[in-house]
Amino acid sequence: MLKEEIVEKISKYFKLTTFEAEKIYDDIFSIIISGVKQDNIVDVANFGEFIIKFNKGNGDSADTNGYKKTVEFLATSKLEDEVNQGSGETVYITPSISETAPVFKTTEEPVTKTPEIPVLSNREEPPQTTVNPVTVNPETVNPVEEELKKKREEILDKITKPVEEIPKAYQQSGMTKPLWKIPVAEKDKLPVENIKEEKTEKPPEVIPEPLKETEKVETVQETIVNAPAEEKKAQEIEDLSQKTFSDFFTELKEENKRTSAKIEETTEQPLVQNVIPPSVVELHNEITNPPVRENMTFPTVETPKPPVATNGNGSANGTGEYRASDNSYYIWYKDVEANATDTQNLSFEYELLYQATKEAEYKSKLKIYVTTFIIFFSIVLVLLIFSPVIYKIFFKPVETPNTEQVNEEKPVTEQTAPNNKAEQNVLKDANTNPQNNNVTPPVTSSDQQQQPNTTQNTTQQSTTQPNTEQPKTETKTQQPVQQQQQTSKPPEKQQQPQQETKLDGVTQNSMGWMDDKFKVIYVKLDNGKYTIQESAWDSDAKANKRIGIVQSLKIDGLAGTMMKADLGAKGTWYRVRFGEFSSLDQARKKAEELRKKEGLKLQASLLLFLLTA
Amino acid sequence: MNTIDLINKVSVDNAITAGRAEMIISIVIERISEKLKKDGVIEIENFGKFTITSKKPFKVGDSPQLFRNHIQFDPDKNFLDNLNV
Repeated sequence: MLKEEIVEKISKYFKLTTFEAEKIYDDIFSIIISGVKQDNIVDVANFGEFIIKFNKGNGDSADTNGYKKTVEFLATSKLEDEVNQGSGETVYITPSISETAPVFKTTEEPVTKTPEIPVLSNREEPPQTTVNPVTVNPETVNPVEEELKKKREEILDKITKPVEEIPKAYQQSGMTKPLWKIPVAEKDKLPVENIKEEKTEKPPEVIPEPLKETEKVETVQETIVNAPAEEKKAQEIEDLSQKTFSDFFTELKEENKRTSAKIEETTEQPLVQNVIPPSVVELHNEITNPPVRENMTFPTVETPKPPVATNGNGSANGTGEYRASDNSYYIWYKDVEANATDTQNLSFEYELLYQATKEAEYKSKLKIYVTTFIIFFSIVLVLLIFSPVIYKIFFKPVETPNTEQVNEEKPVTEQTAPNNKAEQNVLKDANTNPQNNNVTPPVTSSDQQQQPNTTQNTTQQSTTQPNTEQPKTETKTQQPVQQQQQTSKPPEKQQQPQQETKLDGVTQNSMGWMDDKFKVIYVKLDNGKYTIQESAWDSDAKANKRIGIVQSLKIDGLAGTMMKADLGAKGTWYRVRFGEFSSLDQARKKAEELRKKEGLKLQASLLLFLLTA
Repeated sequence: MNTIDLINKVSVDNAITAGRAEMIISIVIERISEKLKKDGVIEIENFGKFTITSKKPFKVGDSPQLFRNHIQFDPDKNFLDNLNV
C-alpha cells in the first residue's frame, strides 16, 4: 500500500498520471539496483548506503572466486536516531537483564514518561558520565541527563543570543572598543517624547598594561579566532539538525533567499497614512477605474482606455496614462513597454475603424456602379424601343419624290429637253381634236384631286414615249396610228387602274404608284411589267451600294437595276429599281418582304452594336 | 553512485526536470522512513525488505550498555539475480 500512497502523492503534486508516477517509482529502485551493480555502492542522502558484500556461495551461481554477491544497507545516523527516538521502550538496560537483544516493538499504548535521550551526531562525542546502575524508572532523574540538558541549553542560548550581546565577547577579550559598530534596530528605538536626559556614568577607562608586540598579536588573534568559532559551531549544529534531503542540493537557493530577503527588507517602505492628498487619490482612482462610455458609434475614433498601471505616490512603476480635465489622454513615460491589455484594446479599436472605413468606401463605390449600370441599361432600352425612328433619322437616305413627280420621265437623250414643249403642244392638239378625245386617259376623280394635271401628261407620255422623238410634222400622220393604239389600249387602261386603285396605302402619281406604307414607288415599264423603285441617289456609287445591300438580303425576284434621270436644274439622279412583276400585288408583296428583312437586319445590327459596346 | 547521479538518471529516463526528480526522490524516501518508524517493516516489490532490529549492546566509556535499534535490509530475489548475473 505504500506504493499506492506515494504514486497518488506524486500524481497530485506534479500533475502526472498514475502510470507515469508508477513508472518513476519503479525507475528509482531499478536505477539503484543498476548503480549497485556497476559501482558497488549507492549513496542516497538522508537515507543510507547500499553496499555490495561477497559471501561464500555455491560454485554454480557464484563468481569465479566462489563468492556470492549480496547487498547491505547502512542507514544514516540521522535515520537511526529518528528510529531510536521513536522507540518507547527500553533504551538503557542494566546488566541484570539478559544479553539477548530485544526486538523493536510497536506500542500503541499510552506512552509513559521517558527520559529524554540525547541526539547523537557524528561530530558530537557521547557524553562521558559516571552513572550508577539504576533500574528503569522514568520518574527518577539521571545526572547524566541533567548535564546533557545544561549543555543543550547553553548551545541554544548561544544561537538565540541577541545582536547587542555580541560585543561582550570582545570586552571579555580585553579590548575596550569593538572593531566595528553594530547598529541598533529601529524597533527598539524609543519615541522622541519619552526620551529623557539621563546621566550615564561613563565607565572608568581601563588602561591595559603595555603588552609586547608578540603578545599583542597573539591576544588579538585569539580573540578574533575564538569568538566567531563558537558562533560557527552553533550555526553548524543548527544547520545539521534542520537540514533535509533537499538542503544539500538547494543550498544555493537558500543563499539567494537570504540575500533576496535582505533586499526586500530594505526596499519595503512603510505605509504612510494621511500624507497623500485626497485629490491625488481621486486622480489615481480615475485612471485605474475610468467611467464606462455608452452609445458607442462608428466610425468616430474612441479614446483608448487607461491601463491598470498605478500612478502617483509610492508606485513602483510610476508610469501610465493620465487623464486631463479635457478628457484627453497623454502618456507619462514613453520609454515604458506597452501592456498587453493596451495593445489588445487599441488593436481591436483600430480594426473596427478599418472595417468602418472600408464599408464606407464600398458603399460609395456601390452607388457609382449602380448608377452606371442603370444608365447603360436605360440607354439600351431606349435604343431598342426607338430603333425604327433612329433608322429613319440616321440610316434612311434622302428622297425627293415630289420633284420627280413634277418633272417628266424621260430617257437619257439630248432631245428630251426641247421636246417638252413639243409634247405639250401635241397634247393640246390632241385635246382639241375630237379624235384625240379618246386619247385622254380615263382618270378617276380621286386621282384628279390628288394629282396635278401632269398626271395626264404622264399617262399620255407613257403611251406617247416612242412618238415624242418624232417632230411635229409627223404628229398628224401618226394620229390615226395613235388613235388605233389608244383605242386598243384605253379599255385596258380603264381596267387596270380600276384594279390598281383598290390597294390600301397606294396612290397614283406621275411617277407611278406611291406606296406610303413601304415607302416605294411602283413604276410600270414599257413591257407592261411593274418594278419597285426603292430609292434615288445623286451618284452612281451610292446607287450601286444600295443595290448591293438589297441583294445581300437574298430575296428572290429582286434583281437590281439603275436608271439615270437628268432633272435639269436639280441635277442628275440615279434611280434604283428592283425586279419585274406582272402585277402591282406581286410588287407590293415583294416590297413588303424587302422592308421586313431590312428591319430585321437593322435590329440585328443594333443589338450587335450594343452588345459589343 | 550519488544522489545526483540518481536524480539525473531519473530525470532523463522519465523526461522530467531535475528539480522534479529530486522532489520525487525526497518524497519517496521520507515516506519510507516514516512508515518504517511506524510499522518497523517495509516491503518494496522487486527491491527488498527493510526491518528494524536491535544491534548488539555497546558501551560508551563507563556508561552502561546501550542498545541501539538497527535497520536491516533483505534484498529481493530479483535484486540478487541482477547482481549475480
